[in-house]
Amino acid sequence: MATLHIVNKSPALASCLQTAALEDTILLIEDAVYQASVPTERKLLALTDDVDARGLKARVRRNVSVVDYDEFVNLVTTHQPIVSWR
Amino acid sequence: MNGAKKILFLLRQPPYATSHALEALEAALVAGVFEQEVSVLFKDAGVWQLLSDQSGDVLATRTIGKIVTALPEYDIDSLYVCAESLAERHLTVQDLVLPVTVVSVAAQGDLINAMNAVVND
Repeated sequence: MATLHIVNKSPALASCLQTAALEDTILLIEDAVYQASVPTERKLLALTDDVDARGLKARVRRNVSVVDYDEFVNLVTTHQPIVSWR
Repeated sequence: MNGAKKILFLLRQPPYATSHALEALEAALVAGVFEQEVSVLFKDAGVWQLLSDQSGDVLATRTIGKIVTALPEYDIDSLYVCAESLAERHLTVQDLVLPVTVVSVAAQGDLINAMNAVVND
């Protein structure tokens, strides 16, 4: 299984990107969703509710897909290990 | 007015993940109620508090952008935002919930020096 990286603080994404393998999945939650609004090369996921709460819905970049809590659970069950970046 | 102090609230925390932003804004509003000369400078990740289209509802909390727009209703009109902090986040004043004065990092020292007290969250 590929690794799921869960990032919950904006500055932590840089460290995560340095270590994540290409086939890994990176999910932005809480304050890390601000990174969905700035240019990044890599494909990323971001949690819908955290994006919407912060007023970022219209600012999400094309390389970022938003996922809801059901998809979040699905990601957790289909990846191993899971790494939290904070 | 007699006894009024010039107080700058230096807001540097993003909203929602913690209660820092909410509590600092409430402190600024309270200072306004007590007729202090309140100024607010949004800086670093604190500029996210100003972003339009926020919705605290989805996180079952208050919308920080709405509280920010209440500041002028408490006679808090000296609102500033850090130019560099906006630019780093690809934001412009058009993206914000209300008109604020853009100040560069270079000018912020003078702003701070003019105060009696600074509250840095």
